[in-house]
Amino acid sequence: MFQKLIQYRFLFDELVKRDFKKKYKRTILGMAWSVLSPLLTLFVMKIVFTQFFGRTTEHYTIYLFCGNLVFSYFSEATSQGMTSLVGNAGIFTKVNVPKYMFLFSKNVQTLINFGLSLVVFVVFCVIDHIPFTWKLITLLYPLCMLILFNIGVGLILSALFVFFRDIQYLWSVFTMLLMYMSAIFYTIDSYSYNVQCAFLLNPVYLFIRYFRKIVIEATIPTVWFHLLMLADVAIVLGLGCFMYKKYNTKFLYYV
Amino acid sequence: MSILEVHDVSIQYLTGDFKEIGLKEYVMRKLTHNYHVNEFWADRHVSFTLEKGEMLGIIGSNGAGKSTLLKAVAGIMEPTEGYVTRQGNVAALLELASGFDGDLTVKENAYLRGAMLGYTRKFMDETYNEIIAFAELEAFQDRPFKQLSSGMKSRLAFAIASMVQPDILILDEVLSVGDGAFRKKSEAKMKEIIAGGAATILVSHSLEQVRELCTKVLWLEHGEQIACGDTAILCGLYQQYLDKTITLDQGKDIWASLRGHYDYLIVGSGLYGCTFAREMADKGKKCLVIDGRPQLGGNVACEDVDGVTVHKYGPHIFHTDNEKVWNYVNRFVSFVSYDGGFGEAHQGIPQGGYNGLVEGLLKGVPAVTGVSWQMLMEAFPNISDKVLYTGTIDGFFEYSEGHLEYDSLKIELEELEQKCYQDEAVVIPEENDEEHSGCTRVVEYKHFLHEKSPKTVVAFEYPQEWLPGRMMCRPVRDEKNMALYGKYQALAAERPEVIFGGRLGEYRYYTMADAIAMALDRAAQEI
Repeated sequence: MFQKLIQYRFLFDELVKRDFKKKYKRTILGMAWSVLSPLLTLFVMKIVFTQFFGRTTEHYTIYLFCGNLVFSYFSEATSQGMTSLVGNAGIFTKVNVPKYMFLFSKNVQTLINFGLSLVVFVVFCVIDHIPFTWKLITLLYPLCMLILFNIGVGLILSALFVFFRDIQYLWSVFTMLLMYMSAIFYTIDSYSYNVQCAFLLNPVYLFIRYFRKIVIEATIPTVWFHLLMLADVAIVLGLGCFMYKKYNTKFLYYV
Repeated sequence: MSILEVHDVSIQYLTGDFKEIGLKEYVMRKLTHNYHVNEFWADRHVSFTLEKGEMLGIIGSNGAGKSTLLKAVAGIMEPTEGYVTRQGNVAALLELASGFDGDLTVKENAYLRGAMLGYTRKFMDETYNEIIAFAELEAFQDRPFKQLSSGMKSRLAFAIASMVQPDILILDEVLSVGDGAFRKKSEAKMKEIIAGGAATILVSHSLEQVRELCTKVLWLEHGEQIACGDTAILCGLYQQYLDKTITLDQGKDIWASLRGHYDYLIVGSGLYGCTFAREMADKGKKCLVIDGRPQLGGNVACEDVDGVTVHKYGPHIFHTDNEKVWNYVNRFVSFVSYDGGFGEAHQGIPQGGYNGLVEGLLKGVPAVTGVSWQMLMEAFPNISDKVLYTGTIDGFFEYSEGHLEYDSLKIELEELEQKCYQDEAVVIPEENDEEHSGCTRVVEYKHFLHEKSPKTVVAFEYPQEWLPGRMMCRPVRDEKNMALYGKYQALAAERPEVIFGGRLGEYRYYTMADAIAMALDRAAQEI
């Protein structure tokens, strides 16, 4: 696959460029908007939820930001990744190119957005007097895992979307439910132990929790926590790759 | 090893109303057992190989499985059965104008397309100007792609795609791009690529293009491989199939018979050739008859025009004193006697015309029309041990010594909306017929067989100077021509495997009965 990536490097570059140009073509604010929009969400959440959760939670703004940062990256990458294969049907039915390139190209774009938000996040941390320790380095782990996780979900969704076009609506409903279950604006401390464990079944929550642990509490999660995250990513990525491999030559019947 | 080998490839295609249905509907249909996916074979048992510098033309009607096969060759689809092996890189130009992005500029699209075709950035940087110049789009480089006309889009697509030097090049209807001037340019470019040593596959609805460019042809129909081989013969067969003069099964039979091996190849299906074929076949020899004309029978071929049996190459009245020949032909057809004056014991025209006689003679002998001697020799030079050649002897030797001369006639057929034109079948017109001045004989065909059609067909015959290609009636056996014929006879003596027979092969005038008698003798000698 890596050899193919080198072989198709030029195509990949051009796809990324195309997705980028198309995305920011007719918006005046362009890239700034993709930073502003999550900030606005953050702002609204801060105003609305401070009353309920803010008083008992330390660094509530950063707490909220961690949740928003991870979740908006997840939701953008997966919802945009979903249409990447169908959207490029005109290409892959005519030319024999690796089909996952279309998803990767979309992911690069959302990753850039995520990167920008991350910069803003760091600025907020400075403003909120978050101590910068060596432990921040370990954030690379959930970051990489999150990227891979999003690719995995994107692979699954983009393959499914070829067969079932209503996945798009089902997924947006599912994403909304998932958001409420990811403890973005509330804490799970008041729930029973069993319920708290149930939250760990939500992979997105794992990423959010990892960020908060490091940034706010400056503690590295347990080895088991790392392994759980790895398992989630491996399952999703494995399933995605399997679907692409299995349906590689079937997709074109459905587009 | 071939550059491309397609081995017994079958491709299953899925159809049905499963496209763009939702998950909810899918589940509902599964539950109610209402979910149907139809599988059909888009291609079945297709095999061919392609070498460097060869060009394969794929012909066949719509839905024959051409595009699906190309997708398998390009690697976009996988064969359900069989395999495709490729030595080297493949460039597939399928449905060119699609796959562009309307929002991007022309330049951006050019780079994207180049990348899709597997070019490097360096290559695109170097050839970009050339591409734009070739596509004649210099003024449009920074315009959004959707502002281009469809012709411009195709031009750009072609220009980019043709910059490659691939090992295997796949062209799906791409040569019919743009206006006339651009088409010429694109054809020239294609020839350049092929000359560069690529193995090329061309799908085109233009048989002319296939004839001109391809070194061999694959004929598909309903996914089935009808034939693969010689361009001229297969294009000829396909044309006959399109004209509905042969059915698909006949086409297959013809192709199969051309690939056999024979004791005798009989070139020309006139009475001489047909009689010879009948006799040899009856003696257990394997014979194949070919004729370059679209029908069998040589100059006795008949055609039904509005219920009138028309002799296509002038009126033919069978007359003979030879009892043996008369009995022989009556084995195959019954004759309607003719009262006109030859003064011979038997005179008549076969009931229903001469086609019945030809069919009777050729019963059980494979006969192929539309295939000339030259075409056959090019494709299957070793098809038979011996040859009976009933075409022109000078033509056989490619007129190396010059043309033998003939008397000629021009026959003008007129279909008339009247019951009757004249009282007799054959009338020598009086000289004051101004409308048909110079006419030497008028033949009204319906009188021969007493046919009752409300219309009539009349032939007016005019003598004309003979030129190569015109109808050949009687050989001019003067001193000059006989000397020339002598030279050809000397050449013929060096080809003992070829028997020259019949009017044209022996440069001698034969009546129909003569031709049959000579053929019977000739066949008797062969046994």
